[in-house]
Amino acid sequence: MKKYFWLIAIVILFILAAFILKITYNFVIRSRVNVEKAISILKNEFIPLKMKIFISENIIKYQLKFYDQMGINVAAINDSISGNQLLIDFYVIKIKDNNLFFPYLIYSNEIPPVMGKKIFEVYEKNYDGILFPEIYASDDMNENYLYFISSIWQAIKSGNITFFSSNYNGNALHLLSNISEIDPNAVYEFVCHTAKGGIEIVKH
Amino acid sequence: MLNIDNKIILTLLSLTIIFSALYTVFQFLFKFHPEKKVSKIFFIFFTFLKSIFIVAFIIVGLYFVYYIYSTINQYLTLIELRKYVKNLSKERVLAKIIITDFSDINFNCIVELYSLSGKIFKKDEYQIQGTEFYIDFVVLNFDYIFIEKGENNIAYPSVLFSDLISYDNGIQLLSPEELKNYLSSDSEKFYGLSENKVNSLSNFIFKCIYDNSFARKNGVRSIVGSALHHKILSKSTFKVYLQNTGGLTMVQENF
Repeated sequence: MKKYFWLIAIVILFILAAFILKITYNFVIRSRVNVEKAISILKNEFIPLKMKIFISENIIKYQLKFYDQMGINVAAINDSISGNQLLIDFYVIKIKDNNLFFPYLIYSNEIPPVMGKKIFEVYEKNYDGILFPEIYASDDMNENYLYFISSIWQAIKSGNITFFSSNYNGNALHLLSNISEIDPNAVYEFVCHTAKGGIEIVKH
Repeated sequence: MLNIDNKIILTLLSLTIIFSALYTVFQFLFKFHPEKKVSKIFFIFFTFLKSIFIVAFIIVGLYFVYYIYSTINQYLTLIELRKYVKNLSKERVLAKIIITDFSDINFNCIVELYSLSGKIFKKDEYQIQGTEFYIDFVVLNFDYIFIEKGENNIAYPSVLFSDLISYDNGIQLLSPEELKNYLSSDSEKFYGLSENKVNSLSNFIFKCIYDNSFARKNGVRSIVGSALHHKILSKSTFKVYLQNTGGLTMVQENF
């Protein structure tokens, strides 16, 4: 009887081990596929931000408009800052050879980054309890994509961007045109290149 | 586009030859054996068929010549496109930032600047207050049409600053004289730089910055300042690349 008891115990242990392995395997496979599927929704080139700017007597008045992947305006900021060059800082996060862009800070040539104004919460939207950067809202959006983007978003917001270690960097962009050349009615578009990770400002 | 293959052409050619042969036979009979009674209607019918097939053969033949021409053309376009894609996907290293030491309040780094042809131009060591380095570049992005034709975007290093030091209080990486040398060393590589047009790449860039219409006329899509930055977490090395698709990227080198 004792012999059978050990046999049953061993069989149960084997079943338990197999069950745990199966769960681990499913989790690993599922999470891998999720990232790839989510990335496939990203556009190769998109414009999350458009800017109007007016500089006078060392004060920069700016209007920023944020756009989602379909080109719909989702948020806006109107503000001013001292200086004559406005720097718009983006987090660029590289995941599986694709780059995600998040405009997050504004400062000027006179103000150091540490004293800059955080802008990332302006374009945040609550999707049934999941906080999501609306600039990544897309027609093809699904639950998997939502969780993928929002997990990166959480890392940025909680200041844990360093979690991505070598896979992130910041890029602060600023116009170089002569102040007198800047047309207050002109719209400047921030074009983000998902595959390469570059950002440029193009006058519309 | 019509799908005409060799079989159709060979069939048409065969039929044309057969009808031409029949036509010749009948013509021979009419000319040299007028005593033999051959139906004139039959002869006219074959003459008609022969003419139709000759015309059809000529049309298809011409189409075939056109088809060969367009195939060669497509192949050449494909070769060109491959060149364009290759040029668009090109990236060049601009700078290397080596973090040699760091603490909670400052850091030491070596900045190596590379000319656009990839040669090391300047190497210097700096000690800066802060925990995050910012390296700013001036970038000129050309229209894709020029990039596709083989031109390259232009960038040069400008200011080194940090999270605690503003852009204005940062370190100028190149003096005006160094900047001229930096840019003119590669000037022959870029678009719109014939001797008659501008003296050097630096003149060209400054003119682009201060004159929007000049920049547009010369195919410059955008001129921006781009300050790449990274939090300092370890003694590591970062490389800055200029992309032909537009903008700069920075990667941390892994050993």
